[in-house]
Amino acid sequence: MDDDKLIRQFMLSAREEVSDSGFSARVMRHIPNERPFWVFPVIVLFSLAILAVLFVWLDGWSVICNTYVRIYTAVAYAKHFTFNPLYLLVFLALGCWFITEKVKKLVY
Amino acid sequence: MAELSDQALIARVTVFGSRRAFDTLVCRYQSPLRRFLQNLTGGDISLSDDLAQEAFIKAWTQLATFKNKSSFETWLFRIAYNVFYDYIRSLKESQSIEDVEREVESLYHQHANDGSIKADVTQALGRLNPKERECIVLFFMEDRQIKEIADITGLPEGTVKSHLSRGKEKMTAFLKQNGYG
Repeated sequence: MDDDKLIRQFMLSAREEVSDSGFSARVMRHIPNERPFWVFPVIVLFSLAILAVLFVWLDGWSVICNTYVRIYTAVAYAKHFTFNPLYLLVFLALGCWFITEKVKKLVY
Repeated sequence: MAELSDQALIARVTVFGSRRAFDTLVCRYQSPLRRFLQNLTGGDISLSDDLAQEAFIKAWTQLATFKNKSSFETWLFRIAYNVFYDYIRSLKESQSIEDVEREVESLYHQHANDGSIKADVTQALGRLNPKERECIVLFFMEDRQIKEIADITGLPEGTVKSHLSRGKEKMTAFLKQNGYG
């Protein structure tokens, strides 16, 4: 038999899983309570710094202003919208169908 | 949390200090790590458990420094290996390499007949010098690649290969003498 194979077979015959028997619990009892406090604030500050850079670089302020203007215009146009009860019925029917399908999937 | 990868668990520990995530890592790796240390200490279960515990505590405190250059398991084994040698050095005032190796030998043979691990394997490993033993255990029992063994022991890959080669010769001789071949 190949020497490598012989040694491997021999070694593996002695390889056993070591049962936990409370070892993990013992380790966790000895783990110091201090968490690496600095890590989380550093990550938050770093992320905020990146966001600030992106905001300035991508001209975030004008994006916000333009979005606000669009919403305002849409609401202004909506004032001229005349309500038709049929729309409500269609909306309710679609809603009922959607909910029924979801419930069917859940039950079956 | 059992299905989460090591990376996800490490992220939870480093970012949120999650003890639960670390507990999952301890449960996942306690068996190979304790077995490895038992093989280094000649089967001294109590000592190897103490060393394993210290290794896990060090891993908890140093986890933020873990860089994905190797797997978490290899990194953990490296810590355990260093903890083992720190312990050996703490037994002796003088810290020359020869003294440390002599101390490892003495520790190994002191417990080698405890019957706590299979006697023949312990006896066979007892014929090797400490470095050969470590390389043989990692290669054959823990299924580590040469590069991983080099990462764990801090030895160059060429040196690991030399130790493995010499260790294999001695192991083969032992096995053939004892009717395994």
